[in-house]
Amino acid sequence: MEGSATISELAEPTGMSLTGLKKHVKVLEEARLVTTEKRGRTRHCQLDEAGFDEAGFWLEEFRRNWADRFGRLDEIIERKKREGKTT
Amino acid sequence: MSENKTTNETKVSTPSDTEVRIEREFEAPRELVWECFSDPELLAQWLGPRYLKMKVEEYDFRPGGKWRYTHFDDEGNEYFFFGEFLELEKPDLMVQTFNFVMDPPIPPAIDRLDLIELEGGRTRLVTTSTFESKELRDGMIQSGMETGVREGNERLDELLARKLSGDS
Repeated sequence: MEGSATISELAEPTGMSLTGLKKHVKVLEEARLVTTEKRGRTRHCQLDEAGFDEAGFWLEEFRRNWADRFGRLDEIIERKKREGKTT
Repeated sequence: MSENKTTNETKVSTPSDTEVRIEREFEAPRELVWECFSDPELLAQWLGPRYLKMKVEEYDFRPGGKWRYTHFDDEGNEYFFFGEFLELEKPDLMVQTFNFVMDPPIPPAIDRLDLIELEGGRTRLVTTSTFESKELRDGMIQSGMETGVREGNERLDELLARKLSGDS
């Protein structure tokens, strides 16, 4: 898909309601994968190239993966701290 | 001991074309953080990606000692890693070679872990991985992340579900 499309243009081939599609677009917009622009009475959507910037995407995935691991490491540390204490 | 603890931020940067750096602070002194790296039983509890189990086959934690572990899932996918401990200066510094088994093989990265003492019995961990080329670095960030992609998709699903239920 290239360029921009309106909500109704996007909804038509998917069989989704306009309201349903708007919700999906809103989420994609918040995830910075899509940008929208209101022209007159219609809202035009297009892919947000910045959100798909490859290096940035992978680096963010890499970061999340490590954030997950360190979250588990925090739990082990807390457990070890409790074990080390006698109450 | 603080009950209102928040998760410390994980920072990733690329200081040069051949390096990737990860920084994270922990609510524990360096000796305890060190133990979570030096004890293979503890390591296996946190180092694997969320969707994979981790099996440590060898972990000879001394300078010149070898390590080897596998990440695997129930579908028979396996990812093999091995390396050698180069420098171990408790509780300040660990340096090791890091190999991800590929066909054809790729040269190892060098991982350097600095544990920096902070006030209040806290620790800043700085890991710096150095690769032989930018391509190898970028390849590692991407190829090791199959699970990251799945997790990323799941996060997007979760976000969608939350947003949709919240909006209706």
